[in-house]
Amino acid sequence: MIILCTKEDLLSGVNTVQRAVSTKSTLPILQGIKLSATKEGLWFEATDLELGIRILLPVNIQEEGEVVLPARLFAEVVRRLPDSSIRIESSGHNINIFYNDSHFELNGYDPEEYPEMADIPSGDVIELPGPTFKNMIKQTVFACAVEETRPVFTGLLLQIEKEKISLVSTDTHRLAYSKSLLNGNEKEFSGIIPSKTMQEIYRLVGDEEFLNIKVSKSRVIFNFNNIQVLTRLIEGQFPNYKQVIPQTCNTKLLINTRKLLDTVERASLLSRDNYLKTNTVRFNIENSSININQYSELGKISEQLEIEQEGEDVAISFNAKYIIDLLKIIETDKVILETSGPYSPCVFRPENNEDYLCLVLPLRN
Amino acid sequence: MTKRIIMHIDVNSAYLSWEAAYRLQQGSSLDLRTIPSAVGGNPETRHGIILAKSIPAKKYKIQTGEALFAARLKCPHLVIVPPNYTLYRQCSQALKVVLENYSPLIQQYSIDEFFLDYTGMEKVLGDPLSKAYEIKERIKNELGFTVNIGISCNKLLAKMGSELEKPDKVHTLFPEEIPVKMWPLPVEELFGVGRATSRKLRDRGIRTIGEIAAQEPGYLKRFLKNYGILLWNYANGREDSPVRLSGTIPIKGLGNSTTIPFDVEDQRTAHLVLLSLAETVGMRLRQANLCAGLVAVSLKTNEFLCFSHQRKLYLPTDCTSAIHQVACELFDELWQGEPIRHLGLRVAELCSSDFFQSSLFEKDTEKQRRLDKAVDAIRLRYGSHAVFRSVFLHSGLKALSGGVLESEEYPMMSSIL
Repeated sequence: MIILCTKEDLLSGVNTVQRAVSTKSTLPILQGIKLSATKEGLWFEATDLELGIRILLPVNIQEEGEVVLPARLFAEVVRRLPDSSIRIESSGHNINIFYNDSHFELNGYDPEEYPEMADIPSGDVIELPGPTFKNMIKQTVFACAVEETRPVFTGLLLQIEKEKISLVSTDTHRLAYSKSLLNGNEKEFSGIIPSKTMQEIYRLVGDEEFLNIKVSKSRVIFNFNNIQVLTRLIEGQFPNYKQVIPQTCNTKLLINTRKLLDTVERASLLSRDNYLKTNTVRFNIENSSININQYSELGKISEQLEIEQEGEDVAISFNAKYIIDLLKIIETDKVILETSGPYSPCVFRPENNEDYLCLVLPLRN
Repeated sequence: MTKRIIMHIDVNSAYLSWEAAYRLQQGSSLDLRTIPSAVGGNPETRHGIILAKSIPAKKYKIQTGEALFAARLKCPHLVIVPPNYTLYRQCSQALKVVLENYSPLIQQYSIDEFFLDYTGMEKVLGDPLSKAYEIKERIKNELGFTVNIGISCNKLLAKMGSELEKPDKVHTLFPEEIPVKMWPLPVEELFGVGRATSRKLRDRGIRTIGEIAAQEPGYLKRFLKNYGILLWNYANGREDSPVRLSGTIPIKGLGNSTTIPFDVEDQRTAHLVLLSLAETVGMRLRQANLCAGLVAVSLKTNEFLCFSHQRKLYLPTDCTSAIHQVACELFDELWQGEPIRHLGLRVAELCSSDFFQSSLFEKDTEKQRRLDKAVDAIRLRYGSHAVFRSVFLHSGLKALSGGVLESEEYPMMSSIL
C-alpha cells in the first residue's frame, strides 16, 4: 500500500482506536493496529475481541493494501512525527514512513492473522440522539462495578422500548438510572453493554446529532461520523432494578448541590486514608439542616448545612465516595434527597428532572 | 531525645521450662530440664513433632520441628511430654504480671517474649543492669523458670542481646558493643534473616553480621530490594520502633489451619473440616470487629504437596456460613481427589465491621449476623464447645479447629518488631 497523509490524519486515527487495543491478550497480534487502504480511504482498526473500534479517514490512497503495526510503538512514532506531508509505503508486513528527507521503518505483523470483526449485526437500525445519549452515559457509567466477579454489574443495561430509552448501572451498593425519549422510534432492544465500551462512546461521540445502532443477539454496533464501535454484549440476567427503587419516602430534602459536595469532600478527607478504608460520612438531618460531625485520629470536622426539609429527622451514614461521585454529575443547583430511614435505599435526583435518579445504599452500623 | 532503655525478656526453652516447673510444683522429684526431654505433639493425631527440648536433649542434636520418631532414633530414652497450652498461657500471664512491676510500657511479642521500655524508670528504680538481674532472679524464684534478658537502646538490639548466651543470663548490647558482641555472629543470627535470605547472602560471600554492616547498602538493595536496607540498618544496630501496647498493630489477615488425625478422602468430610475452621476464623474476625473481603483455602496432601486458592468476595463478610460456603467452592475447585492431610482457611482484605455497606439484590444477612452474635456470646461465656453444629455429632471431627481465639489470648509471633 502507498498513502499520502498528514500527521493529523494519523494522530486522529491512532487516538480513536488505541483504547480498543488489547492490553492483556495471549494473542500477540491483538496488540496491533490494523491499517487498511481501500478505495473509500484509510481504515484504522483495533480490537480486543470484546470491543472493536474502526475509523475511516479520507486520505490520498495511491495503492491499496493492509498492514498491522504494534500499537504502542506506532502511536509513539506518530506523535513524534514532524508536521510535514507524510508518505507511507508497505513492503511485506513492514512499513516505511517517509517525512521530510527521512524515513522510519517499522516491522509489523502478518495482516492475514488479524481477526475479522465477526458477527457484525445486520439487524434493524435504531437512531439515537447524540448529545442526549452522551449525557445519559455520563449520568450512569460511574456506578458500574469495577470487579469482574459478577459480570452483569460491569455493564450498563440499555433498554429501548418504542419511544422510551433508558440506561441503568449498578454495583449493588448504588444504582444510577437515566431515561429519555426517542421520538418516532418503533423498535425494541435490551442488552448489557460493557462499561468500557460506553466510556469509549462517551469519549468519541462529538456534537453529532445522531448515532445509529444495529443489534444482533450477542453484539451491538454503534455508527457515528466515520467511526464504528462494535461491542460484545454481556451475557446474563440484569436484576429487576425497578423493584428496588423506592416509591415513597419519609424524609425529603432539597439541598444546594455544590455546598453538599464541598462538605462531603471535606469530611471524607478525615476518613478516606484510614487502614480499614471505610470512607464514611454521616448525615445528621434535623431541623432543616444537615450536620456532619466526624473525627478520626487525624482530626475533627463539624459542618452545618441549611436545607429544606419535609418529614422526619434521620441520621444516616454513607460511603462518601458514592455521594461525591453522584453529586459531581448532577448539574442542577439543587439536589433532592429522599430517604425512609437509616437502613433503606436513599434516592438522589436533580431538582425538576424526573428522568434521572441515583440510589445509594447506606452503611449500617 | 533521651536515650531509650529497652529490655527484651525471653523464656529459655519456654514450653519445656514451664512444663518442668509445673511438674516440680506438683511434687514431681524429676526436673525435666536436667534430662534429655522434649515437649511433643500427639503422633496419634499426627501432630507428632518436637515443640521444645531441654538442654541435655540438645546434645543429641534434637531439633525443634523434627518428627518424634526421628528424635527417638537419636535418643531412645528421650522423655516426651504432651503440650499443655492452657498452662503456657498461665505462665506467660504470670510473667507479664511480674514485669508490670518494672514499667508500664510492656509489649508481649510472643507467648514467651516481652519487650519492656525502661526509659525513665532508672530515676525511680535505679540502674537497668542490676534491675535486670533482679527481674531474672525474681522470675526464677517466684515462677520457677529461667529467662534471658537483653538490654539496649532499641528493640532490635535488646532482642539480639537476649539471644546471646543461654540460659539464665543478662546481656547488654549497646551500640558501642556491637562490633564485639554482634558482628562476629553468623548472618542467620540476625533478626529477619531466614533460610532464603541467608542463602542469598552466603552465595555472595557474606557470612557474618559484621559483613552485612560493612556492605554498601546499595549493593544489598540490588538483590534484597528494600529489605536489604532494613537488614543493613539492623546489622548496624539501627531500629526505632516503639514498644507497643498489645493490640495496636493492625491485623492484615487471619487464618486457621489443622492437621487432620486421618487422611480425608471424601468431599463431605473435607467440607466439615472447613466448617470447623470457618467457625474459629469467623469468631476471631467478629471479635476483632472486622469483615473479610477475601477467602483463601489451602490444602496439603498425604504426600505433602500443598495447593491453595483464593477468591475476592462481592461483599465483605464476617459471617461463618458465608465464609464456609466460599471455602467449599474454593476447595471443590482445588481438590483433585488426593487424600488430604492438612486444611487451612484464611481471610484477608479486612475492613471494619462497624459500618456495613448494604447491597441491592442480595439476601439479607441481618438474621445470620444475629445468629453468629448469639453463638459467640454463648461460647465466650460457657467455653468454645458449649454449643456446636449438629453435623459434627459422631463425625469424629472437632466442631471448632485451629484454636487460638482472641479471648484465650494466645499471642503469636510476628515479623514486625
